[in-house]
Amino acid sequence: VGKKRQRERRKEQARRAATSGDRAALAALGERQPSAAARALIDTLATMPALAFDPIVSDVAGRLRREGACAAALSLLAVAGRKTRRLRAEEALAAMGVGDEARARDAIAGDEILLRKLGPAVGMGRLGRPSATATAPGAPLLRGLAQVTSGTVAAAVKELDAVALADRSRLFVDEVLDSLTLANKRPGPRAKSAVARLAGTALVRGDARAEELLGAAAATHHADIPKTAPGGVVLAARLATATTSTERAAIAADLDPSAFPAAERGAALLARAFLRFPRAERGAGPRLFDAALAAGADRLEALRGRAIALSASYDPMCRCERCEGEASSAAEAWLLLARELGEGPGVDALVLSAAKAASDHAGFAVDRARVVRARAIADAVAARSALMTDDLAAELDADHGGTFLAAEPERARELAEAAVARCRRSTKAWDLRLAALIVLGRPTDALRREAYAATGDEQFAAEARDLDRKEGRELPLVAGQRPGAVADQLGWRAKNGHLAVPFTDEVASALDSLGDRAAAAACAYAMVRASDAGNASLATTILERAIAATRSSDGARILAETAVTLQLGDALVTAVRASAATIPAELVAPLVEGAWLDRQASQRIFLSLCDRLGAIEIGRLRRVPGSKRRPSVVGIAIADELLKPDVSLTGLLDAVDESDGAHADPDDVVPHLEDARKAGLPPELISFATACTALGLDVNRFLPQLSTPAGMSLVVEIARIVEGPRTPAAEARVNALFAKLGATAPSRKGKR
Amino acid sequence: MSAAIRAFQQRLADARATLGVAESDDAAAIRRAYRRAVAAHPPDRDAEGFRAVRAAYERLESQLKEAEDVLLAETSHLEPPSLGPAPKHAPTALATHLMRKILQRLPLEDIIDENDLRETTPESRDE
Repeated sequence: VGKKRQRERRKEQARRAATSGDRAALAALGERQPSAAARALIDTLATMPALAFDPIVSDVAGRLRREGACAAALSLLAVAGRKTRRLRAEEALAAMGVGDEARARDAIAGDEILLRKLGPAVGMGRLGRPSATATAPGAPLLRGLAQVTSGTVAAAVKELDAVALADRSRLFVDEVLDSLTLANKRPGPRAKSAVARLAGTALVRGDARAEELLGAAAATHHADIPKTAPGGVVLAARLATATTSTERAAIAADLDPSAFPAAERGAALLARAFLRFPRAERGAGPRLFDAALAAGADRLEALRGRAIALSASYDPMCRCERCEGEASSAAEAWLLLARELGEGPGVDALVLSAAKAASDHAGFAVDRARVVRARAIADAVAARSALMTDDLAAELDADHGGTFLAAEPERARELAEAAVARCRRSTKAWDLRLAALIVLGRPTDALRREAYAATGDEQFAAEARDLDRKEGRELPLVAGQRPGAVADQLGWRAKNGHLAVPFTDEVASALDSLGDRAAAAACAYAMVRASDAGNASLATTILERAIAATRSSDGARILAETAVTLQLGDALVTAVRASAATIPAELVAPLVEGAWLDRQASQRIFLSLCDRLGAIEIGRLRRVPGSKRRPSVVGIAIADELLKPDVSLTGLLDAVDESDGAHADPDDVVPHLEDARKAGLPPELISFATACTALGLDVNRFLPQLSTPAGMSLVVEIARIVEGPRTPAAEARVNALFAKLGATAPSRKGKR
Repeated sequence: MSAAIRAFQQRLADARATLGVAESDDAAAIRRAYRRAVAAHPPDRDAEGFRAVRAAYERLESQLKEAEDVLLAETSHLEPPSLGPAPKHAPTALATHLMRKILQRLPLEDIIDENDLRETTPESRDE
């Protein structure tokens, strides 16, 4: 007989047992399938006198309780009533199983014997002396529980010691005694071994609540947790010692929700949902919040999370049916939240924001019904407060107009124009107006410029720039534009030879408004454009101006890396020397490191600037090349971050490289840098610079000699001697070598 | 209601009280109230009062933006859940949890003596 057939037959047996009230059949079913028996008994009790079934009910409830299905046992017991002591006792025990002590106390309240036996374990009544004729093996355990509940741990230990030897293993007495050790205020060294034993016992492993409590107990006593302990123990110990709310939330999200008490389970699932939904698979994020909601999490917070998760679940660039459906669901979630937020002081702004989000998602989904509902909510808020702004009203109008775009473009255009008339700053209204004209097949060029002038929006600016460039015109640079937009414009001007250096006031003020790092990135971008157009002299001039202006180490690194990538190492050295007097000491290392792709340029920059470094800084720079840092094109990556989303320096260098530009291959930059880092600056050069610094000599005096092999060999020899022991002969030799270099070394009185 | 929403409501209520405006007052009325409040708390004589007035005005001006920030925050506004008993009670809680767990696995007769479970109620006699 197949499994399916067996299941059907059992269902039929249960149904027959329930309808006939056959006690033997119900009892047999209870032995086999307590949960099915419970359901059958509930049906039976609804139609037949309950009394005849009490023994079966208490037996089935007991079985369910022992299987851990205390909630099902309580449902059955609620129908049967508390007519017998067994039923009352089972109800009290099942209630204790789900942590509902109030129900446990209520169940035994009128029963003197149960009050005496079970009451103390749920904080009710006093524990009497143990009976000399007691036969229940678990009675000491029950009494021990009562002792711990009343705060007398030592008495609990005595009770447990009274368990018969034959029953000790079955009743996990050793484990309970270990837990009682930890319940002592000062368990001393025994805590460590108790934690280790409990972490390995089957009684704790796999029981999320026990694992968490053991972790917290271990943290309380500062006891080490064995490496083999379950994850829950480790996490709970961390949770117990976590100090910040964020840290606690992150740990709580990793814990099994069943570890938390019932009242906190919803909050635990909510914390987990918020932390996990961004990484959840498509569609799974909202379900995390549904689970939290079902477990009793804060309703508004769970609905809010669900709406956010649904909003993030679709791709706003995709127009597929699924994405539109998900956008509609997101809109519905925001509408639900808006409704649940209700009305009242302070809530209106939130309701309006929720309505706005709903309208936005419904607009994407071309879901006119929900757009209209969102608008109705917004209008209701507007009627009782002054929160509705022209901006917002125009956005909502545009969402509504957008739903007509495909079927009635003329109507969409009219609504868009009305929205623009209401608020000329509204980007969304202009978007719709342009989209309607495109659908209607009408020209949009003039309107794009108008949209940019009205809104100042970057996207419109980029479109207007493209139009102007097609027509050979350029847009003015204005302060407050994004760095990428400024870089794009500067680059275009550089490429077309329209960029004057020294910069005009217009360019200078646009660069100044960007800040040091972004201005350097924009200049680097313009350099690449100029170089690509074959205008190396303009690239060099931009570089000189940028090096003179930058005061940030990121800016210096960006410029140095870009220059050597464009094979403008010599120009970089010239620019550095021209501004050497004003370049701050903290820029030396970024310039030297940034120029490593061109090792010679790097060395020359070092020698040009090392006179302003102390021996410690020079030494530090010596260590940097040999460090194990992962090599990367740091400056260019920083520039990309600063210029996104408008332009990318890496992308431009790639494009230039593909068009056979004259710069070094950016793909090779990392290996080259790595080589340069491995080699580092020659140690002898650094020793020479150190010697010059110590001797008070201007290292720049020797630069001409350093460019020749003979000069370098002299430097190497000087370095070797000054690194060695200080003797009169060595000093004489150094003096002679310096004389050959064209300088007289003073006597080495200073520290080397 | 979420604690963040309550806090948001409270911040707005405090700002309105500082400027003496109602929720239905529009931006112009708020600006007028702000000017009056600044005249009452000039920065050169009552710097602290001026700061409070300025903060209240800015809060009311940007309440929609703040509302959006509250609604769209991708982190929970609630305190993380607690494991129940404070850590200092965890050791006792562990012992009681384990003992209850063991008791739940036992048949009734292993917990309470058979004699104690017998009773002589009219219902049981019928049975």
